[in-house]
Amino acid sequence: MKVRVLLSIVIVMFLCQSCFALTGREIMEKSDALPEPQTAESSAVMNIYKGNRVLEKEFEMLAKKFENDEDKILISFIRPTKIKLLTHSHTGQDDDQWLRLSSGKIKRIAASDKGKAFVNSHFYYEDLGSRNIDEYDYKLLGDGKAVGEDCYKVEAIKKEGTKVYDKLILYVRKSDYFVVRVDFYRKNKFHKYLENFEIKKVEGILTPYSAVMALADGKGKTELKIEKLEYNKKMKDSTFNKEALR
Amino acid sequence: MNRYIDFVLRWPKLILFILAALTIILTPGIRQLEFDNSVEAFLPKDDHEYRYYNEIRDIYGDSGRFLIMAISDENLWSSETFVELDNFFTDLEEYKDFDETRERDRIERLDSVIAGGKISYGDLMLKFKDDPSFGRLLGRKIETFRSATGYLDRADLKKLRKKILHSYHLKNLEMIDDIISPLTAQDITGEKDTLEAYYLIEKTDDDKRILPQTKGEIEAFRKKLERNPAFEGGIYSRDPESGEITDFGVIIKFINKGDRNPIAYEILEIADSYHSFQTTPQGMPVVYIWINKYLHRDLFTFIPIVLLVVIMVFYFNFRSFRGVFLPFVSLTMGMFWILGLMGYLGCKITALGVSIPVLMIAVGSSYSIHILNQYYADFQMISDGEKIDGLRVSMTHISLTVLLAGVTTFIAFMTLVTSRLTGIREWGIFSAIGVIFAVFISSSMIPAGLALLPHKGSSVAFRRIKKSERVKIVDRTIALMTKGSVTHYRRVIAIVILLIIISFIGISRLKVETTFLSYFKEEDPIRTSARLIGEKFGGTRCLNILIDSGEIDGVKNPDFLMTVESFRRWLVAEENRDLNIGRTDVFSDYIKTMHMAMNNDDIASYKVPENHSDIIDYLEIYAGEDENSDGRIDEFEPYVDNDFRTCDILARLCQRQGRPIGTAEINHTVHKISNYLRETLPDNYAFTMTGHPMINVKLAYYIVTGQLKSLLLSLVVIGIIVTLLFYHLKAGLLALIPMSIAVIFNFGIMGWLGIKLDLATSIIAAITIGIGVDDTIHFLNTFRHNSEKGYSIDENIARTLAVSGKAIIFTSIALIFGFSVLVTSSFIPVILFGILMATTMIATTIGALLILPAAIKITGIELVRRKGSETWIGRYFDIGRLFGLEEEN
Repeated sequence: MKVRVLLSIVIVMFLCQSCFALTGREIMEKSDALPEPQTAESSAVMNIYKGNRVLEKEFEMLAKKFENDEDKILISFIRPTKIKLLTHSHTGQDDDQWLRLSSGKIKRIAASDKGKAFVNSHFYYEDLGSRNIDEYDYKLLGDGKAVGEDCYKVEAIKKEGTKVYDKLILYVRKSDYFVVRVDFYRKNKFHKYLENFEIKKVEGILTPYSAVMALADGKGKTELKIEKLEYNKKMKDSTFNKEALR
Repeated sequence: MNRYIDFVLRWPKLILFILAALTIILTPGIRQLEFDNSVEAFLPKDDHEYRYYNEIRDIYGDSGRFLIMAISDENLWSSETFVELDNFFTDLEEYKDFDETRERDRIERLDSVIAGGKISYGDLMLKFKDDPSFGRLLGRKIETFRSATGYLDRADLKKLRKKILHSYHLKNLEMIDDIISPLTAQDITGEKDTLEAYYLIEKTDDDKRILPQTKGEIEAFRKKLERNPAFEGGIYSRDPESGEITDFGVIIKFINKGDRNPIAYEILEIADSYHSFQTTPQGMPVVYIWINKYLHRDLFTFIPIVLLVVIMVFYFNFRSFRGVFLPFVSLTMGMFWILGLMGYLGCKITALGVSIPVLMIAVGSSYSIHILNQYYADFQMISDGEKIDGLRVSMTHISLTVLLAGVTTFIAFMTLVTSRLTGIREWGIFSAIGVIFAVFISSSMIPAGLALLPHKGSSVAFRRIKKSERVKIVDRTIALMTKGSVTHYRRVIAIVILLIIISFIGISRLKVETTFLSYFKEEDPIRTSARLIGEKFGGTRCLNILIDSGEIDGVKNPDFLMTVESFRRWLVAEENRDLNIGRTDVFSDYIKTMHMAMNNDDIASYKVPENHSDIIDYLEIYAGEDENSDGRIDEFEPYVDNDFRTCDILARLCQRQGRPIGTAEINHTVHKISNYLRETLPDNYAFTMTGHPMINVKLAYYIVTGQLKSLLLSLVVIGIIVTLLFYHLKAGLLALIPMSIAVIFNFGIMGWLGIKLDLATSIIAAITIGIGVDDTIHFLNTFRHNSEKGYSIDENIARTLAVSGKAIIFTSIALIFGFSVLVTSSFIPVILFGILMATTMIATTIGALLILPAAIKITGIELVRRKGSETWIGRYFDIGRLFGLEEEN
């Protein structure tokens, strides 16, 4: 029942850089070190396939990196609701989140619930947050193919902590160490998978323009499409103030 | 028949061998017999209401059939109780989310312990000290077969492993969909402009509940519980006088597939293992378990008692070893055959089916008495000549009568196949087959046995008894009947007409009852717990009232939700107590809770918001799980369809008028609600209703229509058969008199005494006709035989009663006592069935011995023997010859 701010749908789709390392950990370090933007402005459409319905949601997102590795992100829904979500994410502590309803009412959101769905999609808040490489132990399983690309297949096992997933299988593209597919395991069961498509370089930053999060049992999926994207555009700090939600 | 008896007498050992072989083949089938106590066991699968009910369950889940439990204790609000409650819910949750790795590891560890051989209970527990919930499971399972002390030997450990594996498979099925309770519930608060979703009892990172320990923490928990109005009467209840929270409520919902019985058993076993608080379980899964327990108990109680009763009847009748042994073996065989056959065919014993063994014993003993009576009647004739020749004459004669009685009973039972209720249909088929088995066995086993046993001795004793006590009572009865039908026939007929009129008035008061709770006695724990749960948590049985908004996402419209809210208030309003609705659960509860949270927990905001956009927003940020990805948060599934077009109002039934809710009350509720919605719902909205209680109402409809159908059909068919047997339409019509009167009398008694027509009592008419016709045929056959000898009607009646009266009376005694045993049942309908059957058997006996002759006397009907070929009926349907009636007597 909690609303946690979407850190960055785009950034989160993982990063890239080349290297020669062959252990699982080293491959993931290379992937983690891929360049990130300072700011991002995007508009996206989410198509959620559930039952016999397709629910379409459209939103705009502004994101900016601040000092001390702090990210501030503002998501403004255009349809079907006019909700706005503002998140100040901090390293090593809980995020601050605010919600503005269509009626203009603003509420602070107390804590996050990482295992819950983001606006009824197949993305959990956990999927949308940044990942700390040290939260998992890695093992290279070998080579594999995903979304038509040659990849390293890396297994990530959760260390002690509150992560939603016990295990991930990451498919890291050999050519640039960009993660193109992730298999998510929950309670030791293959739960769902994410695939990144239309991966383009925007201002030197690898960015998937399309991503699909699908349930392992084939019962549903959410497609995410970036319609407009601009990196490193100048943004006022005040845009990300709580007062700006009014 | 002649040839068959000839064969039996020539090859008695072969016959006994065949019978024994068939018994050996069929008996193991009994072990495959299963019990089925659900309404589904009866209802036709193609019934449109039943199909709709299933469709609704597919959409909204099986929301109406949850297991509900009240947890109470005088120390409910203590940290110690919370620790125990935490253990209890942890045990339950293992059946909700299956952790394969953990469970496999447990089995492996247990296997390694078992490999070590004999171990003490204490040491076994120590081995699993680091896994307390598994330790508790081991303790529970051990206590199911031995005490939790001392040493467990290899056999014990093997048994334990089997039980643990059973639990493993149950966990793997993940039958529990949700557990709603104070320790597992979530809520949302919006105090101090901060929106916070939380568990009433928070959890640590490794999923352990953080239990309230100090007084302050417990008080804070109580406040959390009381904050949300939706929780009262749902997950807690107050004492009406002190206002204190005295009970926690637990609702366990199941997934809509598979057999719930095993998981419900497991849950009850878990609940029983906790002694620091009291649990009161209820709900359909619990009722079904109790029915199952009682079915088992009944079956094991009935059979020995009925057997004992018939042994006594045999003994007092024949006073000889063969007179007890041969019929006893015959009817026991018949019972094993039919139960074994049912087991092999995969048929399940329903609450009704439990009466089949008793019926088989009663019917089988009646046939055996007929046959042995004949043997002793012909004893002198057999003694005077060659034994086998004598037996041939005697056995052929009586076997024909038994065959005829069997065939008519078979047909009467088979008319139940016209019922739309599967359970009744199956009962009819198997009882009919059982009758044929009984005829076959008794007319094979007894002649074969008599052929092998030496022909000596007991006739003296038999005749002595015959001439003493038996004659005194039986002959006096017959004399009375003769006098009544010959001298006072007008009075008899007048009394009968008066009784029929009184009975018809009674019939007009007859009510139908199909609710399963009514099976149990008033003070049965299942009834008392149902009352308790009704008072505290608003009931256990749910009506699904579906309101269609007429458009996709229409449920999100505030106008629609406000209409629904006003309707639910009407449902539980004081002036509508007659609806017996104790509580309603509706989708809008979630919206109201969100709205209150968004308005700083102001209780005045616990209502449906006026703005459409607020509702849309609440649903967007209500980030619950949607595990099956059907477009609804899992918590919403019981209340709204995945198009958000139709809202499912779950209205719980509970007795609000001080009397149990039966079919009539449910019918009233459904009609009143339908009328209200028809009048008040806006034109663009529509409604339908379904649910388990509605299915019960449908069952009642089928019982009434099926009853009329099978009644008419069996009367017509029996009438035709008797007409064809005697080549006299008059005989057919006469045959219907005693049976019709007995049936009318039975329904009249039921109506006057307030005994309701239910699944069990609904088959009485068919049995009455099926068994009652035997007496009538017996009488008519002898009467016709005497007609030829030129006796006057009076003399003929007297002679007929003297000859056939005794056999009729003795078989009736066996049947009456046999059915009387059913009063030991745990189920009210079965008890009433037993009493009514015994009463009706008396009525059919009086019908055959008094009313039938009185009717003959008053109408002056004579059944002069005609050759089949002399009548148009006989020319085409000479079934009298088939049964050898022409040669009889």
